[in-house]
Amino acid sequence: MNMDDKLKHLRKSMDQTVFKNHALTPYDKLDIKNYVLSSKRKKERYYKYTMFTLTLSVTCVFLLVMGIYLNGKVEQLEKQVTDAVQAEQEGSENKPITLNFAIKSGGGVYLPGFEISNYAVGNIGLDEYKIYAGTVVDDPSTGFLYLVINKGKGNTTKIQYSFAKGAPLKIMAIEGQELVLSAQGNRIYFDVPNRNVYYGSKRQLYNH
Amino acid sequence: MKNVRKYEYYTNESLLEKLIDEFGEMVKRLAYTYVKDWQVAEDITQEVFLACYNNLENFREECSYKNWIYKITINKCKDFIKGKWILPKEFLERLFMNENKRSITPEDRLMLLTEERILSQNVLKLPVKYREIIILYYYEDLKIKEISELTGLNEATIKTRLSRGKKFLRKIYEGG
Repeated sequence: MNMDDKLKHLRKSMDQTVFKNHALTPYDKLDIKNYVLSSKRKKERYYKYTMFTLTLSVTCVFLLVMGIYLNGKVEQLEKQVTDAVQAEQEGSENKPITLNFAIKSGGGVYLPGFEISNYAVGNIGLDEYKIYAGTVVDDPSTGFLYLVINKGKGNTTKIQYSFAKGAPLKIMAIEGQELVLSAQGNRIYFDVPNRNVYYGSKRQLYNH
Repeated sequence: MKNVRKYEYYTNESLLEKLIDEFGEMVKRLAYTYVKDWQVAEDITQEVFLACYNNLENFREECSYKNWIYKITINKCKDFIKGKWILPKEFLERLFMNENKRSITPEDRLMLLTEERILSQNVLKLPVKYREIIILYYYEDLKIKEISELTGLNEATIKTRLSRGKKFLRKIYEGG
């Protein structure tokens, strides 16, 4: 049998048999069209949703990174400011100043429990300083130094220094930021801004 | 090229409609010759036109719409045969139901015996690599060169497959 001859009728054969009852109806065509269009819309919706999610994610990540970055920057800035303030404070503490204080006689000034030899008065910045020197009334061999700092608005600091066998204590002079005091022929130095007391020619720190 | 110009002024949607009208039947039949299941052939037809619609913008006028659609259909069918498509549950159920319903009536038996039916059935029994060439050559009436363009096979291979396909068909006729 000649296959080529047989196959020449293949189209007719298949159309009359296998394909006979399976024509594409207008309903089928509409079905295909609807499927295609709805799939396209579905894909577009999916794309939009994906884009939205992606944009949202990128924005969130960006904000997070910016937040972390800014937080780091703020911390860095805070540290810089703190360091600067600290450095300024340290600088102002360590930088020697010259006191523009006046030494006045203690006559007429009354401080309960003390007999005042004289006192120094003046300002460091906005703070008003009064430093009294003299003898403790109850113990005439003990000298004293009484520091009153008035920071304004009723904010006052009072510090008392006692010197055994240091009476009578008297302010002799002002050298730089120190008061030079005399106690029975001994020299005492009072560093006013740092509130340290030194004594003797070796300037030993006095631990009161 | 003449075929292409015919659709120049259509919008995508009306062009889709036109293509379905003109080539829908052809796609479904061609898909059937590969997969031998009408439901799957219909599913493939939908996928073919979806692919067409999605790629209308990219369609280069190097070939006709007909050949372009043929090519997409062949690729979709081959994807299906290679198992790239995951069969939906409904399809499996349908297939199972169809198996149960396959009872042959005397009329069907008579139909089966007709020469045309025997030829069609035997062609569909061929392995897919011969079947596709036989169908494209004898049913779709395409030239060897056109088949080569559609399938990506060289012309010599197509000629060999055509010859071997016929031999195979003869064996089927002889009951081998």
